[in-house]
Amino acid sequence: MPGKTADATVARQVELAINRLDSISILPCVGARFLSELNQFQLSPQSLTELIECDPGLTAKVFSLVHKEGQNFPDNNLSIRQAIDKLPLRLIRDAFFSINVYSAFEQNKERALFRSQLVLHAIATACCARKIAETVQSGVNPYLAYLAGLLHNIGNLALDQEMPRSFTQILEEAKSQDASICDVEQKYLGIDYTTLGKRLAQKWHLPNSVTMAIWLHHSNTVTVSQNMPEAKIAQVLQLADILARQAGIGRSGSYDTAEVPEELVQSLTITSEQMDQIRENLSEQVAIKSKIAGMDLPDTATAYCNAVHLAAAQLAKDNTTLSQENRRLQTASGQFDFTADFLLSINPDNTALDIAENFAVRWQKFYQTGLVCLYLAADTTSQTLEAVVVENQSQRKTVLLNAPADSPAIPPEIANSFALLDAWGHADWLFEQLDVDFEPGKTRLVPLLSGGRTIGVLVFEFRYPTDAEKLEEKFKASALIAGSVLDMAFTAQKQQHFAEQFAQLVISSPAAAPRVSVPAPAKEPPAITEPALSAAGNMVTALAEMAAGAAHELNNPLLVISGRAQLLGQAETDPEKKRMLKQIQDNTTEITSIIDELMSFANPVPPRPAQTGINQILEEAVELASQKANVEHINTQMEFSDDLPPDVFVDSAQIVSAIANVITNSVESYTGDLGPIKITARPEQSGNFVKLQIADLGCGMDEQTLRKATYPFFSGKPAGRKRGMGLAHAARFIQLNKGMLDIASRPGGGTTVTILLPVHN
Amino acid sequence: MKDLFTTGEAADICNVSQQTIIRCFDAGKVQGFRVPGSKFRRIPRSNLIKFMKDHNIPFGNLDSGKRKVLIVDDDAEIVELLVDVLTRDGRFEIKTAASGYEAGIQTQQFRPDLILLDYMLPDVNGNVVCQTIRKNPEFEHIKIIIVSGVVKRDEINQLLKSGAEDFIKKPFNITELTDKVTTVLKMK
Repeated sequence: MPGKTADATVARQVELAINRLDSISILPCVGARFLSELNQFQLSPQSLTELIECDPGLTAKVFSLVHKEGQNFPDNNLSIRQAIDKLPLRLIRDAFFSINVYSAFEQNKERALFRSQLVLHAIATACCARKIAETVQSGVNPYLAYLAGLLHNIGNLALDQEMPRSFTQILEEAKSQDASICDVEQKYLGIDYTTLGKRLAQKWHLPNSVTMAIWLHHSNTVTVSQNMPEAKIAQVLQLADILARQAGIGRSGSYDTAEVPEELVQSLTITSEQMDQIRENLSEQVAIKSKIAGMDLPDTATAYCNAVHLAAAQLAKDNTTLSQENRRLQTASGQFDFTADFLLSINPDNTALDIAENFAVRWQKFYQTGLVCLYLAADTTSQTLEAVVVENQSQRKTVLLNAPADSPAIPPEIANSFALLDAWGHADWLFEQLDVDFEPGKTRLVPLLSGGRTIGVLVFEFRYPTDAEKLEEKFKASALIAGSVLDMAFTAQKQQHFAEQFAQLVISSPAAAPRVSVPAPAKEPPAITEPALSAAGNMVTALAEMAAGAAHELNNPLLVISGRAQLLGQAETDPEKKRMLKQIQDNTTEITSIIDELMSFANPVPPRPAQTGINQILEEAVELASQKANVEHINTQMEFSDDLPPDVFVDSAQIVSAIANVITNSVESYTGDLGPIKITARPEQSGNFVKLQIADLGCGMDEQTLRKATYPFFSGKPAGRKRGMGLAHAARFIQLNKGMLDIASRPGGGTTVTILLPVHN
Repeated sequence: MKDLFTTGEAADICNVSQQTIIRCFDAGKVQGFRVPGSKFRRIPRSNLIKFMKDHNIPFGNLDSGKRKVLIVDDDAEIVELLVDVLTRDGRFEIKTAASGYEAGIQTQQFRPDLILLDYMLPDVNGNVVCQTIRKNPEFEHIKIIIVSGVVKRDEINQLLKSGAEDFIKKPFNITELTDKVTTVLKMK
């Protein structure tokens, strides 16, 4: 190629070649440094930033990463540090691994050395540029200036990487001719490193000003920046380049004399003293940087290799750990899905056997087993066991098994705790009864526990017996869940049965129901089930039940007593004896009427309400009361309000009877002369009821008596006088007719009974 | 009630051949008379009964003139009581049963005129017994009185519809019972 001048095609070829570059290779020392810090987990953002800022390749890569991630720099805060903070570390690490490290192994040491000199020159230019920018206060961002300096010769670095032989020849020419490298490049390639640098800068989305600086730093920057103030940075760069060359730090590739143009000095308004100062301090600064980059270390290539090995090993280990963790999580997730699906598929109507079938099918599918048999053994006394057999998804059936005669259905080892057992030897009785064949050696069984007690056993054919032990934990978890759910289903079933039996007891009237066939002619009374009574709660209903039960049992003995007494009486001549026998008979009649009262109280005729006149009701009630109380005339005072509705909607016979009872009580509350009984009627507030009040000034009731006033058979009077059903009946009838009864009383101060009767239906 | 029997009728009742009766008649073992103007023999009831007693012939086929009553109740004491009451009355021939099943058998064998039927039996509802008897045309003439300690008004009506003649509630007056029985059997 030397000797042959360039033309446009060559330039284009070069450009294309350079454009293919993904990144600028980094020096091995930098690589080693980075890796060693990575391996020791010492990669703080600060140290990382510093390291990157020592290497053009890394710096460029960071910028291209930032762009790729779609991140934006906040306006004036363009810096590597910012980039590091924004990008995830793993991204940087991965990017790092994708960059080539300048492989100095094959080529001669001289080349490697030259490359590091190029980089050194870049660093020097960078430091210089920053210093200049700081010194002259020309509106150029010192940091950007630094970056521009660091990256100004990426074009050369690229050429060195991509076209090493041509680059070597160019260098030799430049050296022999004392020429600037730019000119030589132009001559032979038709393009120089500034243009190439610009291309790369654009490709990797370096900051605009940096790009501009790279492009223009060998041109007539003074003129350019006069027209484009933003190109001032190019001036800075140009000066920095020259000063760095003058300081003799690193190699730029150019061999012409490094002189600072006068107009440049003037344009930047920098003094010679300043420039001298900068030049003097430069080597010190560069030394710091090169130390960070590890450039002073010997045998960096080997160090790098070792570091790479270490890093690879670490990553491999991490990878294995992650894979294991991943697998573990996957199986855990699978287990979770299994459990969740199972639980979601259950609905409250399922019987325990349904759930067992459901679970057995799922178990087979999830654990990829062969035959599965789940038998339920919650009731240890039962002779039969329910079981479900699953051959495959579509072939399943429920069977009834006979509990083994000589051994417990649940093997003792798993009666209270979990264990994975070999089925053979523990479930022979089961295999005998089933018509499917479980494969010996591959069959296992697990208990389904709930609350520390086994309620069922799952027997399954496991295709991979060696793995069975590994899965023991999982089996345990699944079995526990199934156990709990099944137990709950059992409990629900039991409660349902109990409720059904219970409902039978409460609902069916013992009178109408035929007696349960009892072989012995024993006359024991029917078991009055206490729970049925207390559950019914209401005392009246309880009484009804008892009355119905007792009544028909009492009548037979009563007939015997009465009948015999009658017969004896017929045959008897002695009048005294006859009298006594009559007494027996009469008393049985009395007992019978008490029973009848109880029965009618217990099973009252349903009311047949109709619109009835209040006047009429009260008249009839008074009439009836005078009969009951055996009094010719009751002293009543009636008072009706004007706005009283004429009718109430009640069964008149029942209400008349009820009111008559109340009035009778009032009559009887007068111990001496019969006092007045005031009866008032007025509409009640809401308008839905009529409020009747029957008030007397008789003996009244104390609190105790008042409380029990409406209890059947309770009488505040001396025993024997009345049966004490009056108020009980009254209350009952009024309640049946959808009315209300209230009693207010004071000992010695009379009683007022308030009755509300509905006006409408 | 039949007062006079022919030899043929007597033979049926005694379960022997007519010839036997004639020979006995002629031998004077059974007293009777000849219809004036014919050779026909006649045996008065009391003579026939005496004859049967003398020879230990069972009275099964002889209409005793008493009404047949079947008492059905599972309570032994009640049954005893009712048997006593009706026996003392004297007009009844009585058999008993303690279950619906037994009642069925007895009805078939004894052919009662009246059944006093307890409603609550150990094996079957009195209602059912009632209906079963009514369904059988052979027992058309049998009257039924339901006896019970506990029956509700509406159930009583139901029973009367099922074919019972009357209903009596325990405990009852024994005269009341006897009255009902005689009324139902149209005895007076």
